Amino acid sequence: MFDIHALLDDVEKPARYTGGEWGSVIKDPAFVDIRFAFCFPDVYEVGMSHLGMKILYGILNQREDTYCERVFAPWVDMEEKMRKTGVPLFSLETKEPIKNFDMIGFTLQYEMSYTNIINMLDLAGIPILSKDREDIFVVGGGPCAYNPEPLADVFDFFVLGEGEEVLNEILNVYAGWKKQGRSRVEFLEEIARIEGVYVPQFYDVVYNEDGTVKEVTPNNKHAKATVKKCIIKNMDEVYYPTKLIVPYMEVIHDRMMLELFRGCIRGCRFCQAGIIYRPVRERSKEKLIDFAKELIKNTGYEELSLTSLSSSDYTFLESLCNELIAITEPQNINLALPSLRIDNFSLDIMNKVQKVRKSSITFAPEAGTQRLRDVINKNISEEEIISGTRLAFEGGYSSVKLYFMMGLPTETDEDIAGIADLANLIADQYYEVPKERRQGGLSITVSTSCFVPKPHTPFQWAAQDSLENLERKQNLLKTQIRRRSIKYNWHEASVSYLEGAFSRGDRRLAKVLIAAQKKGCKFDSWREFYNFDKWMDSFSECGIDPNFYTARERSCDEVLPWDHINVGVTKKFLINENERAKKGITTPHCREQCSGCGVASFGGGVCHE
Amino acid sequence: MNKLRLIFTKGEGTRYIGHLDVLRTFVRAIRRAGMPVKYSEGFNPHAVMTFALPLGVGVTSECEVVDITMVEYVPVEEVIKKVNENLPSDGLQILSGEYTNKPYPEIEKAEYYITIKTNSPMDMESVKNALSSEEILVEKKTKKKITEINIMEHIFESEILDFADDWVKIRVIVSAGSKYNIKPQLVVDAIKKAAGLDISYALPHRKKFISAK
Repeated sequence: MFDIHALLDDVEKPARYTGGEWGSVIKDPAFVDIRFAFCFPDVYEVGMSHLGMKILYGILNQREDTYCERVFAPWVDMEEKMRKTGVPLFSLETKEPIKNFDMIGFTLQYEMSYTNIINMLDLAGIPILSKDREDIFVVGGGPCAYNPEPLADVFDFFVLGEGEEVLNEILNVYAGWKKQGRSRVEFLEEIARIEGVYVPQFYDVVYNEDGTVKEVTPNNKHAKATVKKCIIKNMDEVYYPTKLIVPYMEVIHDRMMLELFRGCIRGCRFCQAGIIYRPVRERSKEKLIDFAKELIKNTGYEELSLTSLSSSDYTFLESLCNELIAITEPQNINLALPSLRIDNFSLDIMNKVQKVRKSSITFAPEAGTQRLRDVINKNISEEEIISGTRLAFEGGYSSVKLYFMMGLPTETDEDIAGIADLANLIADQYYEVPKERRQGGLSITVSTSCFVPKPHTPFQWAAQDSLENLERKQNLLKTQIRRRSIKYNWHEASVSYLEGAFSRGDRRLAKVLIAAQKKGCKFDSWREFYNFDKWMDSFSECGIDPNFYTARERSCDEVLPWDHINVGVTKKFLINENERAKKGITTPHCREQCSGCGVASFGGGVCHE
Repeated sequence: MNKLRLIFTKGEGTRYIGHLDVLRTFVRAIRRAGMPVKYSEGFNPHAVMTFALPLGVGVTSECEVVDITMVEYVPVEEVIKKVNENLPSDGLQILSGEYTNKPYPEIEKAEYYITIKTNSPMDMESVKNALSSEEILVEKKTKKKITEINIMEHIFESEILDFADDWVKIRVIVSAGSKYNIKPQLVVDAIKKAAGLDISYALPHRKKFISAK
């Protein structure tokens, strides 16, 4: 055992490493069969904001035979001290080195956290490659697991989809397996039969001469030809965490969360979440109200936030909000309503809940022209944006945030100019409001990110815009935004370039990740540590050209590295959507008209309403 | 009389949390306990709490003072019991309380016990000499600037309570309060400098406040 005082004496924010928060689970490890380390590959305050972790921590600790503990990436100062004094990565609850655990699970939230995973394994003293491990199992899940191939050599298995039920099945198998003392491969074979479990070592990948994938075939009789994700069919019957850990230190989202529904009816063609979380499944209002009451009682938090991909689409939003306000207001609890579409209803509701100075309203038109918005199926019209901002300005708002993407398929310089035009048009609306009704000075913030084509979306075949072109477009827009009331923020294009390589990458990329970690790449989503040159050196050292993954447009009959992963949406639907995008034809959302994407096969949610 | 003064400890389990963390933890514990406390007016209502003197990261205590305002009378024993049930048992616990209208007397000094652990055996004579020296210059940081001060002018009492090869436990009384505050870590810095210690870590603990007459 190490002396934690020696580590914590002069690191930044030592409360990241001490645990013991209200609601954290204390068990005697001597009385459990399975020790599970839930690892979030970023710092404490990021990881502790993540709803998925709260859900799985609760579910796993409901099991009497299991103790689930939390692990986060130590910040660089702490890591340095740990490496210097030979302290391996340990869990927050018991401070036990995680190499002594039975199973460790990583959540894969964003590609730029991959080096942190490698680094955490290294710091833990756990072999980085699956083939070198003898006892411990490393499992991954989360949105990036829908193309886990760049990490295929690192992980022993992945869970595709929502883990609430399947994790229990896996642990049941594990408990039996451990008692019988059978071989590693026998455990993996047994769980490979469970829906949603993908064991990459049971698949061989053969490549064509041009470097594309020729075929992916099972090499083990227990492995399914394709692995289908698992979902929770009934959101009212599944576990929801109402006894949260309440951190001592401030975390990014330091509040209670109410998950209204999973999935999204909208079908924006760039959006991976909109596809992989299908079909839309809502929680009943009654259940949500119950959860809210329990959360308030158990946590003492002063803020409650609604969460979903698009809260305005919740069927009972108005009555839910009214009932929640009746609960929160007398108790001085703030109700936060992110991701609401701006219209009469939402402004009215925001007026009711926000006694705070009217801050800002947010729109995500994503593209500057109607033509391009039709291409991406972002069904918001200029008229809606204008009338929404007009309403907001008349209602006393003076600050607008606008989010756009650059590098979308078929994008031209006209679409970039459209971003500036739209911002100007919004500014004009402000000055049309009578002066005496305006509040403060106008402030419009335009932010652009760089589009990254994602697996399982209609744009999965598209070429990603080049670094040079993205930077040229950013400069172009800079010159076109001239009003002083409009501020322009843009994202570092090279980060999106790397994200693009790993997002649509294959198994050959694992060695690039390992090389990058050796060069010291970590916390790549943190500006202060991100180093593009080290990444490019890692690629060239491994003889891999990232442009193969980013810049290349694929044909619809190419075997994609993630084709053996089935999210329930058919390839036919994606191809059709891709065709419609090229023609600029929009597709109605799930409640207007079913487009037959394929997820009705799950037998739940909006498809069967 | 609805102002309630509570004396509480900050134990090992919360040694590494800061003053604002202590505040947040209290606010939420009071909410969970369902105590009828006064909230501030305005945009973001929060429970009204006044701490006698903030306690820093890395320091434990057995003498912290916080004033809260109750909007309904609840017996002190009940407040202590219910709030303590909602505070981490190894971290923050209320020891006693009283309803009072008096402001807390102005703090002038504070007593700390500090355990210093070194990486190699230390020369206890040099620690003794350090504590009895006339002048040790250290850099005192405030939000605005760094100034060099003679810390011995602000150490009013000091003694070695216990020691072994690689650790020593000392007691000091230093300036404290809103006018001039010496953090215990600064005392450690001074001893380190004067006695030439190779320090692994220090564990300061606040024992008591001393108020002006």
